[in-house]
Amino acid sequence: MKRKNGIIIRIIILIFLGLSFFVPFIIKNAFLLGILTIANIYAVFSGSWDILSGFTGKENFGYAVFAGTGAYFVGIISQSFAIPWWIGVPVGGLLAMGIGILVGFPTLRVKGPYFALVTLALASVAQDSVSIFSKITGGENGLAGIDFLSNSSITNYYITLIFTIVSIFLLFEFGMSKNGLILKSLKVDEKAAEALGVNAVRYKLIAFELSSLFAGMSGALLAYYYGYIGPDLIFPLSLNVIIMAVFGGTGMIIPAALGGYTLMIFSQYANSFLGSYNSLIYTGILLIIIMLLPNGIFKSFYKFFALKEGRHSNGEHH
Amino acid sequence: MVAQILVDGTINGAIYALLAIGFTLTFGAANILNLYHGTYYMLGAYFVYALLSMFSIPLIFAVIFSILIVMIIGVFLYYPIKILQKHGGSTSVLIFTLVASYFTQYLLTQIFGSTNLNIPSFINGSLNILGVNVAFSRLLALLISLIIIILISLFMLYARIGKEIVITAQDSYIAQILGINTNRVLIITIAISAMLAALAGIMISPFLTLVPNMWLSPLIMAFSIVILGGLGSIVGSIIAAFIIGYIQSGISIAISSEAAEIVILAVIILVIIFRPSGLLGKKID
Amino acid sequence: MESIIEISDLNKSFGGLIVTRNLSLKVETGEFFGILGPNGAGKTTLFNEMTGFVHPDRGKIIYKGENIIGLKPYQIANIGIVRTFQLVRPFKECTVMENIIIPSVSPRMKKKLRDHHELNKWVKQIVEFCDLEDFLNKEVESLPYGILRKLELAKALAMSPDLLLLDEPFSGISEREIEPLSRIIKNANNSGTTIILIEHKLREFMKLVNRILVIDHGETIAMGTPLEIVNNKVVIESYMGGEYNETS
Repeated sequence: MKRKNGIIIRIIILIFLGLSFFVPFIIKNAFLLGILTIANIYAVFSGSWDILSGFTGKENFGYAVFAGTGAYFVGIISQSFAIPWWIGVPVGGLLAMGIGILVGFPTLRVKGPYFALVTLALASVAQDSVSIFSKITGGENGLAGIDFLSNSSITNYYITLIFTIVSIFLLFEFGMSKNGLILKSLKVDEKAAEALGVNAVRYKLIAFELSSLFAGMSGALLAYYYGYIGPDLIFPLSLNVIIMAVFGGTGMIIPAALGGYTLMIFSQYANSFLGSYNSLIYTGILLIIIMLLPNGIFKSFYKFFALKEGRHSNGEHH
Repeated sequence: MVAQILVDGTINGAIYALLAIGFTLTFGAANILNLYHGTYYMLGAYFVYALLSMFSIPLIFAVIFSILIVMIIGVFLYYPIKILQKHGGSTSVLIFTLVASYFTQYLLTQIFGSTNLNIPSFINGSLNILGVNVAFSRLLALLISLIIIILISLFMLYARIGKEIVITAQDSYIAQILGINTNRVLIITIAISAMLAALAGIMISPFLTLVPNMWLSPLIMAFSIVILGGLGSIVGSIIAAFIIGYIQSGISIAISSEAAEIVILAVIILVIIFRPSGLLGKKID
Repeated sequence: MESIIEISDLNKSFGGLIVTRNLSLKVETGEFFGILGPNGAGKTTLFNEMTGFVHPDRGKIIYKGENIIGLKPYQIANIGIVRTFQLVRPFKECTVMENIIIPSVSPRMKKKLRDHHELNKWVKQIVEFCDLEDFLNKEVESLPYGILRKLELAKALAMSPDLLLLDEPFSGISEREIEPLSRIIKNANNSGTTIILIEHKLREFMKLVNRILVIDHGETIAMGTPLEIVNNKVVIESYMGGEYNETS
């Protein structure tokens, strides 16, 4: 029963993936290709936010700190010597994971909103630190001179595409496994889960480590893509990643990733005619979605089609 | 330098106490962490500015109307928050109130643009205390804050509604059993929270430039104080507000205000590790 | 018979309120032990103290020879003491099957079930044992309370507990639904699981238990067989009152 209902969705995903490989043959415009390249990275931003905050309900309001760790690591090191992206990205991810352990260890042990509040404060402190230590971080101007991912927009696209597909696949498989089911039980009723042998703290930490690892890697990748890193690129992420994930739908990785992908594409186009109303509209959209369509756009689609296939429920976890 | 720290710490501490009391009340009574709280503070200041520039009314009226408007906004927001809490849990509420704060920020940016805004002082002149020049407005702010803190405490202790709020804040289930109309209590609690925050924002505003992102710092300050004092405890919030007020002024003057922010964050993390219920707060379930 | 759990001088107070006072009891392996007492007597607190949700001020809880005070709830569940809650706590947005899978992949069960195949067999076993086959893929929000009670039991049994603590499993369900649930509980005891039962529905309670502890205000009032308790004047005065008529 479970395998059957997965089929249509899996076919759709495969078609989507297949198309994405052929994009550079269809779209020759470097600018447009660039938008899709960035969208690939943002898909991982929102997907990795989801594995922690969507699944366990521990809201990370300071995502920029983790993505920024990877990005600024690359930026700072690149001022002294160049490291290739295939070293910089994983190392950036591991560094971000380290920050995650530091932050997560005290705050995830306690039930309650402490994690959310601390991450909110952390984002603020991090932003101030970038200004204070501007000699190292480049302050408002950021850091340039990072080696580009590659010299071809087509290669850039494929590198990010593969990165995204692998990352989302790993996050998705983890989320849909029994581990993911346990993470969800923590969101719904941590006490009941503990009464059934679940080491809540350990699982929350694992989810957070995954989240920060991919955040750091994506942040680093973004830095390589732009050849530059700065506060304007990184700090809005804390808010934006929430908007993207909730817009797409939390708790299933792929809807959140799609939320990031689509909103990034939309915003690149919309910037020209929305102008300064940009942020107002995105936050407005989020408020509407959270009230009227709390499952998010893509997750609602999924649930709708899943029901249409005649099943009583969505026993998604394998 | 020490005198400056004492003076600043005391005045700021009193104003922060107003900010924190409202925040902890909503959490205690409704189990709602209202991240829009900082925005009440911001709107209090902005509405005074707006009223003053649109109508030529005396400052005191602008202040009163501003507080009333913010209270109405607070109560108005209670309904979506209540619905979200039921269907989406605290995560939805946190996200909603946070994003609503950003939304308000962007709205204000659209309306007022990027020019610097200021509110005139209530009184001019200053006094010399312990060798420090203290503006009369600041002393007035201290006086008003202390009066309000005392009034609120008396209200909580002796007024019937005040007592109902305290009981609901400790245990809303028992409150219902005792026949308390918890819905009404929550609305009043939220109105008081918004009022206190708006007042704090107005009292600080003659000394600050009004900027659309000025909601974030007071929000972080409010919950830092409330974590230290204990979620749900009014007395805890008052004590913690002064403690943090002194820490903040001490480190700001000695090093920098950013350093103060880092130290306070460190203090909060230590509190969470070693005593999550804070000085006087509810035991964490 | 060895005692599976021995509680001595358990004391706990919240603020000034004493919820457990010098509580002591010994439960033999395989027993069906019952706890009676009016509301607020401290019964659920006792369960909370036994399962690590509340830390006693004084006393000892010796389970299979080890003092378990200080262990966290998940650790206690993994050594074989599993409790259910007074108000059912199903995992929302999950199906019945997913609810049962969660305890089935706990560290305790991971040691006993070597692979995917055995896991599936185990889950199927629990589902059949608790008569939940018809509800496997339904989400819990759509289920009637009686089924949720069975699910609560199923989740606990999925941990393969040696000691099962049931907190008012029959509350909130109709007369019709009590008998099947009671049968499942009895079967669990018959297959070797020691059970401690808190329950107010006296008729069912007396049918199941072989020894009873009566507590009030956190203290022991009486201990003995059902027959002894029913005839105990102190118990009748302090607790049974009008409910006494149910026992015959």
